[in-house]
Amino acid sequence: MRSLPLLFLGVFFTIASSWVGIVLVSNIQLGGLEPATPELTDAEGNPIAGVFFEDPETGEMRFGLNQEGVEAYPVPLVGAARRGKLVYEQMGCLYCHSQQVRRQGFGSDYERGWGERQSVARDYIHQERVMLGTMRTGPDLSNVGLRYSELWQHQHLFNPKITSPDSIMPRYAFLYDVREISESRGPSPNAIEIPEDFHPGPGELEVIPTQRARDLVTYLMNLRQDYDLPEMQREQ
Amino acid sequence: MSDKLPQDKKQYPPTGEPRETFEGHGFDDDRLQRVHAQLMREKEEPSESFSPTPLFLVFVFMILAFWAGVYMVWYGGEFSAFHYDETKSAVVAEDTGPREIDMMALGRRVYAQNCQVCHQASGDGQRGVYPPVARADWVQDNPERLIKVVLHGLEGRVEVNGNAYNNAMQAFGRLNDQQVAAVLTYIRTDPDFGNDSYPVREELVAEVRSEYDGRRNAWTQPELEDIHGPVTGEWSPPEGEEPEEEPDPAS
Amino acid sequence: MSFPSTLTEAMSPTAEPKSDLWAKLSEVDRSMKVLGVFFVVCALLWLMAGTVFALVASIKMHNVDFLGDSEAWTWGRVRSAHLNAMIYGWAFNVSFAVAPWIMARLCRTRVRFTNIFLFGGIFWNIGVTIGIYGILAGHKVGVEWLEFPAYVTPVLALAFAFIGVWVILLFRWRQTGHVYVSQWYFLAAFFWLPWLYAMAQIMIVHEPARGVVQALTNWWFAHNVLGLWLTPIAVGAAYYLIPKVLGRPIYSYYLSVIGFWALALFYNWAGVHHLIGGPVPAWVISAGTVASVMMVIPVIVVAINHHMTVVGLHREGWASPTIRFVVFGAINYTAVSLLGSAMALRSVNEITHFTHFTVSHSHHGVYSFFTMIMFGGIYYMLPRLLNREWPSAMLISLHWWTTAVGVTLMVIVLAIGGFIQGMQLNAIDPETETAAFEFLDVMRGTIPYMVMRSMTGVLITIGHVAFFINIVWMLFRRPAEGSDSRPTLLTPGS
Repeated sequence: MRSLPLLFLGVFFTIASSWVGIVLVSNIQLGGLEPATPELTDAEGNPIAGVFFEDPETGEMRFGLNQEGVEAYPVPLVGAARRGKLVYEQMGCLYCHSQQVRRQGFGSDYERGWGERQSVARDYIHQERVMLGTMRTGPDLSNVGLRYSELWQHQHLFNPKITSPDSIMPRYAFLYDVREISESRGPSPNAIEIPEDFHPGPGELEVIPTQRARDLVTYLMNLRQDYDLPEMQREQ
Repeated sequence: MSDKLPQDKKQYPPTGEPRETFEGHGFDDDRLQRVHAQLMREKEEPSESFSPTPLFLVFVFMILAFWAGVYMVWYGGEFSAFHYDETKSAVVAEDTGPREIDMMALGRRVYAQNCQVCHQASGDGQRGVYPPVARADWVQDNPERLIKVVLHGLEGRVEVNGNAYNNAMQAFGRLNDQQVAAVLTYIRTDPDFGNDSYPVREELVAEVRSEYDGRRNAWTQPELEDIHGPVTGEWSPPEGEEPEEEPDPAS
Repeated sequence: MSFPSTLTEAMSPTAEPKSDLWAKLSEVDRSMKVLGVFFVVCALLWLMAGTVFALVASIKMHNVDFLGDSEAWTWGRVRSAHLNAMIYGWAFNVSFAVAPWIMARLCRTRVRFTNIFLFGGIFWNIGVTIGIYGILAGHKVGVEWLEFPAYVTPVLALAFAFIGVWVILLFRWRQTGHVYVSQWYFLAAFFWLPWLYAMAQIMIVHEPARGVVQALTNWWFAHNVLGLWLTPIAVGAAYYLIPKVLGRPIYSYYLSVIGFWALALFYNWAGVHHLIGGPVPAWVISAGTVASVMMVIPVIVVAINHHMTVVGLHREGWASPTIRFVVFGAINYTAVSLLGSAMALRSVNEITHFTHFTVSHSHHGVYSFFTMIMFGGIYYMLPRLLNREWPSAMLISLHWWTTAVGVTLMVIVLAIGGFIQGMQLNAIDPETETAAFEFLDVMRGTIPYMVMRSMTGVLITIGHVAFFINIVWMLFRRPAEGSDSRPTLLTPGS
């Protein structure tokens, strides 16, 4: 091959094609998704994104979240849940847990109770970091907030074997303070109950979740895709 | 060819004599030869012959390209941003109306999705942590007590079949009346669980739900005993509560 | 000394008087010495570090209590440290060592301004070191293949800019008219990677795109690091090393052209297959599936081209450490790519997705294919840079057998375990319409395979230690006069 300009053009256009096709077109198609309700569709049944309202300050028409009377989904994470997501990210949870439900009939996600419907792009629009995951060494967590209680989550994080015998999930005991029960004040109301077999010191010690553990559990309790979206009105 | 000369391992390890560098002076031809011995025995730099592309490959490529086109048309989802299932066309689903529901099948599904992680598939629970639902006095007792537990949760010290548990069960109020009725019917009547009891009606769940509308706290055992009395495992429903048996064809 | 047939010499555009060629190659080798040795040593150290992380992560999969109370060594971080040490540490450094050296040889040009390259290389390794520390310290970014904390990415980008510019300059100084196929691959790779890295960093880490566009960008990037960086580097190296060591021209120039352009065209679309079944529209996934299957074309073409070049010279090939590793890698390139095309089909992916089968596949690609070819490249390059021979044929042999057998077993074990895992996860009891196997039981079923994987990992580690010893020995010994006049071959007397 002697024609170098041709080589460079080819090399440039091949990668440009996939960048435009996969990244740019998707960004045009999906980057503008807004929270929505299943009711808002146009004449052909295509979802109308979001809920329009007039911005009181600028007078422009804008998309809005959860205005009075209309609930649009999904809703963004706030506060502790948002901080908890950082803990989730730092602990590398996504290498064993996915956050995407496949449709009924494709895999057994539906039958396992991981979700009543397929996850769609609109479910993720508020997430600064999208952690879909590619591995299911552990179960899918898209709807984990619906399945377990906070106590279950704390016990599971402190030592996964409490709730799931033989689990190979790492224990996150370092997210918990194990300390002596105060003689004067008695057991702390924040302590979590740990079954005797797994308790570091029944009757003498208590297990208190740190801020990070509480944030993480709050995040997990907020993982839920139990709302309806316009996409669901289609046959899929 | 020098490449093929047998290797003489006896020459290792090295004797420690310092090595002449290329930059060093006084290289005679012999030494120059030696320094370049490695290069000299190299074969020529790669080049290309011009054998033609085998014809069958061209056919393979054409078939692949044809397949690719068909696949994109077939499974392209009409290039819609809202279309996720490639096997269906992008039309709005028709409302086919309510379907006949098998309460046992629904109950089994609700159980598998919500209850199984703690109470286990066998219904035996986990010793000292999660109480059993199979062959359990609580389950065979008053269904209203069970509905309350499912809707609002249960916490504190609990005694089931004479064994004590101290844990917390979360509220499942998000399940609808039909799902709650189905799962309770399932655990009370499925032979695998060994609870020989009668089904739970959807209306009963709705009644309990509206009666305690707004309740946020989980129940405790003493609280439930105040309403329903101690758990005995022997409970016969008030008159008219038990659904009528299927008419026995023999009679 | 065997001279090429006059026909080949006449037909080949690279033909030039032999003494002239040797003089030029000698100069190239000498000018690349510092760079080559620097990057080989860096790569080697990262290989060893990555191996340690790999072993720890692997053992933790079946023995959770191992280092169980350490936050820094929790599984989620060790796994990322392993991946990043192997990719950005080992794979990038070894590419920086082998590819520019082959490039310089093919350009017949003494390299200049090596300080630019060295500067870039030093910063690259500083960046990777800080990045790995950041991952273990918990500053990681939760995006696969982009885990390095946001604060090291400018360092890495800058370092790569220096290296990339230098490679382009190197190409500009070439003294040959003809551009050989390896050079196309290397040039393209050094052009593609900065684009990929910049786009991924901007759209995911620094100015995140909305929702699943991030995930699409993520897999466009991550799969293309394999497809548009590691693959062209390794295929380009194989295109140089096979004909060079065996002394036979590449079978067909036309096949080279088809193979290169088909790879350039299809590989960069393939990454979406990591999101099959996920929350992205059907058409993007279909596009990824089609591109993955179309990858059959370049793979078959390259396989034929390499096979026809090697065929009939198997004895010579078996004796040469370089050819053993490179041909093993080339065979696995065909295998892993065809398997990958199959895995991109929705019906197959339904089973293999989310299981250890995918882990098997990634090790098949990055290790059996890329790493093995790079081992071969080092075995050929280092003696020429240092002007000495490998001190121990026994260690090379040990390295070969442990890694080849180890990684093959690992790939098979994980594939079987992953396939069973996938089948069990998907099985639905038709009677009850619930999952046929409880999740925990499926997980329990994978444990024996995890134990076996650790064992194969130990085998590979032995090979890496042998490789390490051989290189260090070679660097520090002073061979006796004349002792290095013969190559270190693996089958004496052949």
